[in-house]
Amino acid sequence: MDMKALHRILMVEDEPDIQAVARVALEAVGGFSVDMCSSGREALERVKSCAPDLILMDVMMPGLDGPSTLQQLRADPATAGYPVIFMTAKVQSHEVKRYRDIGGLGVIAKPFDPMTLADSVRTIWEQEHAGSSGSRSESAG
Amino acid sequence: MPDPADPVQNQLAKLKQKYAADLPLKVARVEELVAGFLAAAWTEESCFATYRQIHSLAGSAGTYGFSDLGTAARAGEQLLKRSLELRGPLGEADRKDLAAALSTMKTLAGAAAG
Repeated sequence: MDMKALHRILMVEDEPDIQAVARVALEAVGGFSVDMCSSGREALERVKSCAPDLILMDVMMPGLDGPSTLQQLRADPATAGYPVIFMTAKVQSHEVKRYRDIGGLGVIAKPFDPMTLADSVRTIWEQEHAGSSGSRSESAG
Repeated sequence: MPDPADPVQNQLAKLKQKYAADLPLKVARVEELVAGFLAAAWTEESCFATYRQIHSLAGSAGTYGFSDLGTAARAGEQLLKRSLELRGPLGEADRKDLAAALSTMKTLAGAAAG
């Protein structure tokens, strides 16, 4: 079975310092193409025009947080299908379960290692597209 | 030790250098917010704003490799989280712990900035 290619990522992160290092981690290390958004609201506007393969989204953001942004993405038929991986420091098992229950593909822990972030993203993506049951995952980043 | 010939390592090293140079200012911003939060009557808005700022610093410091500073910030974050959950001001012991976390953060930020 051919796996859908992962090329373009929309990252939603309000912290400029994290944006800068994540861009290097995903583009230079991982070879992805990255569009960056600073808020959930901006992501809802940008997602239709940039049509990412994947959305990598911070959980805690001012205004619309990550889970609320996902909820709004799912509520619009035009954006309902975009896969989302959450990034958060809150990775206790009940918190991870909650993010999966609301439709997250997986969770990447913050802080992350810039040299392995892209691998973590790819691993979650491949697990999901390999179709293995219970494949939604958490990564140490 | 980053390989100076590796362009990715170079990019990351430059980002880290800039982040380190900015750390004392970032910690000072947190200190200012904490001081304002502790001096005034407790409000959820002020507590959350302070919590958010220290949460951001905890996350970014860890990602940039300043894990001790990230740990100290995370300790402060937990105190503010508890205040948010209890919807009330910090007790004396928690205030002392928060001050200690800030003092550690300040020392580590100064050392990182060189």
